[in-house]
Amino acid sequence: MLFNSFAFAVFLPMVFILYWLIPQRFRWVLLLAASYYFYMSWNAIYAILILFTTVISYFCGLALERTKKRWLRNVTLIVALSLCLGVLFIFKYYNFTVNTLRCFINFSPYIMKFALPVGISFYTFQTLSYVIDVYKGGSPTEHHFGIYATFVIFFPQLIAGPIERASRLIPQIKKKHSFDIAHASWGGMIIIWGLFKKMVVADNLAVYADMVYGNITSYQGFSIVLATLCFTIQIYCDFSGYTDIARGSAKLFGIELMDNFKCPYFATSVKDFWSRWHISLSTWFRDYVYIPMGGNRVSKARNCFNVLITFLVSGLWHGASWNFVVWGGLHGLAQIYENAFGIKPKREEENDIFTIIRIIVVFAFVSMAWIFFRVQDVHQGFYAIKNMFVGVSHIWQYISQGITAMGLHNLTNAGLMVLYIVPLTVFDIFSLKTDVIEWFVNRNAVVQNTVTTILIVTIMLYGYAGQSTFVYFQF
Amino acid sequence: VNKDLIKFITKVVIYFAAIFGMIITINYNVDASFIFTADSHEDMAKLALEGNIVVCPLNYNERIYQICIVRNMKSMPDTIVIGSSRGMHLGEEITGYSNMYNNCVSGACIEDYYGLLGLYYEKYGNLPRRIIVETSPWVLFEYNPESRWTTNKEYYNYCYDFYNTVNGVNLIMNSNLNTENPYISLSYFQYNIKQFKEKGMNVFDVEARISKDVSELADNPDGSIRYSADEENESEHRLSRVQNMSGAVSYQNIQDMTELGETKVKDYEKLIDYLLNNGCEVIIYMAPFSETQCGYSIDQGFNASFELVEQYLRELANEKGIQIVGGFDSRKFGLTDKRFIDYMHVDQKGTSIVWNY
Repeated sequence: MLFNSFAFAVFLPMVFILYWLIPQRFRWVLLLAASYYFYMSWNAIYAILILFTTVISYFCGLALERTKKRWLRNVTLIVALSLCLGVLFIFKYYNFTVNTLRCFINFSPYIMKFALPVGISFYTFQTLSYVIDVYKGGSPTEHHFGIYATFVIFFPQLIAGPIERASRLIPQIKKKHSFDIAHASWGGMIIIWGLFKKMVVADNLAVYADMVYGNITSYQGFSIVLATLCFTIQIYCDFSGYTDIARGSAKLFGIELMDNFKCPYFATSVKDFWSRWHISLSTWFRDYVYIPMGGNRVSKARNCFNVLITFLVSGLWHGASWNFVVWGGLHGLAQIYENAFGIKPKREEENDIFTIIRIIVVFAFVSMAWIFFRVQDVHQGFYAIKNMFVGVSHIWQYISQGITAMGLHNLTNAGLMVLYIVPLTVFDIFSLKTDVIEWFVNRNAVVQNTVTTILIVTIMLYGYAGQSTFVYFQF
Repeated sequence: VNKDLIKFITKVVIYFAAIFGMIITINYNVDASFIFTADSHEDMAKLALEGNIVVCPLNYNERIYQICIVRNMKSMPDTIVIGSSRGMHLGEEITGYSNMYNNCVSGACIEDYYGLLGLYYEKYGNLPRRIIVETSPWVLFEYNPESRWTTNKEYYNYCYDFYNTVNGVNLIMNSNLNTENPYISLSYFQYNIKQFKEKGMNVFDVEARISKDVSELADNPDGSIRYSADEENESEHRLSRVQNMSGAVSYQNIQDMTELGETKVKDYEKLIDYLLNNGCEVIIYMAPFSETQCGYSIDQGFNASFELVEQYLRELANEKGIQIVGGFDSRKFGLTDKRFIDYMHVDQKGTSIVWNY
């Protein structure tokens, strides 16, 4: 059941109405049942995996609370990590590992033919953070299995995050909520905005990105640059659109999920980019990988190593393929470079021409790195990098050929491209200063209804109407 | 119950009612793919099969029309033509074959070959004795974006069923129309809006009638096309249009075709083999492009795929021992731009020259 499907348009209002009609003490039951139904609509059998991970992490949490013996606590933690990560490894990394080994050792391993369970990386990391927090004493143990299971499978953020911490989400599931029309309006509005980003911007730009990246070796020059820029915007709108719908859906139940994006393409350094992009994942890696390795309280050489390892693992988290590792490695190297030269994010009040130049440089780097995220394998990535500037010495011919190859010389296509990107840019510029959605829901009814209607009509007329999954669902 | 909750739910219900009301109203009333009503196509088909020249309304669905034609046939023709608009001129007069029907549809792709043959196979459990397959270069392009074959569920089913028969597989359908309810389908809503924008009120015009005027686009009793006199007759206006429209061909994204599509070639060869194994005589027909167009596409190499596809088809025909007629380069037949309706459609006289070359 995709967020941009008719099924979800029926499912969400039904759960919403039931949620507010039933007594508080049964609401977690409804959320749990709805979440399992939501997950099982993809593949019912995979619900067993999520239940297995839930049971393991729940009982390990209880065991950690009940024992003070250090060695027993360590064993419990190792059991929890091994079992939860073991499931992730088997379903996501087993084929990748044996295929990589086959490059060095001559053997014929068993190749798994299962589809990757949706959201497995997300819910695994969410349960791991719970167990580690309980182990470190940073989070109270949850005794109620039903509440804990609801925390693991809460449907708005189950498939692609944000990766919530137990200390933030569980109290909200338990809390007695009263219906607040301002919260619900905020939720409804951000869902519509998320759908606009996904269906109008991301899916329409995907056509151009897919055209080139689907057959990359047939292209060279400016068309690769344009396709890369299209993908840069596509992935942002796809993922942040998903997050907006997730946050809006949760807000309808009075639950607040963390903000996962803060105008990432306005970052003034790569480090700054990672404080704005997929925040729940980058803080997860910071807290559970980077800091345990010593963080920045070590020698410079060791710190460089820590940064690089964190980003390589982050790349691998995104996909079991070497191109994702290269993508993570590029970001890691960029941060090492920034640390070495003392490049720090600009403060908000430092708005000058150099800030704009830095934003453009960081945007160019991030876009270039996305190439390795989008391609099928590393070779394609190097092909794209090598061929994207072919013919640039004849600049006008270079640009015009690229535009023509992409079909953007057609005024309708170019006009639609503007229609997609302008509202997004304006929204993000205002987001730097304020919560635009909150500002909007505080306007009078005429403004609210007019803008809502314009967005809905735009989605109906220009939104991609086919079945289009979200990019991050594959992780 | 909280009053604010009632207020919020009321607002949501109003929005939902407006959205779905609009989608259902447009989808049902415009119904550009004739999902809900196809009576006018049935009437057209009956008129045509009675031996009349019938007018092609601006908004009729050629694929639904072919379903109605085959459904209303009294007996299976000896010879049929399948393919795109580039093969629509092939009729009894040009080919000399009798008991023939031209089933070509605009924008035909490989799925249409399966769909059109599937109509006969489903009705007669057999196929016509001779099948002329008009093949354009984009038919073998792996990324051919053509999707008209998916716009009607019944036609789509014929295609899938026959594909499964020929290839001995059991593919699962994945068309949106197959899984979406057409009343509330957003993709169908957008398609209807697009058709309405392009055709205006003509989108509602599907009245079946016999043509009494050569200025009208019409279907001959053998299914071949009769262009309007304005388009069929040679003129300065037509010539300048042919020359001005020429350039690198981007139809069906053919400019991106650098090699033969692997799956398309497999599907094409499987089909040819199936027809031959079932005793059908197969003739491959390649319609030419205009003289100016060939200058761009072949001489200047803007559409390298044209030569690639022609060479492949000739080798295939040679290997299978089947007849091949025509070619993409009009100059081989001595045709100039004067014989063309536009850069890729040769007129009736030109078609006759190519067929009898």
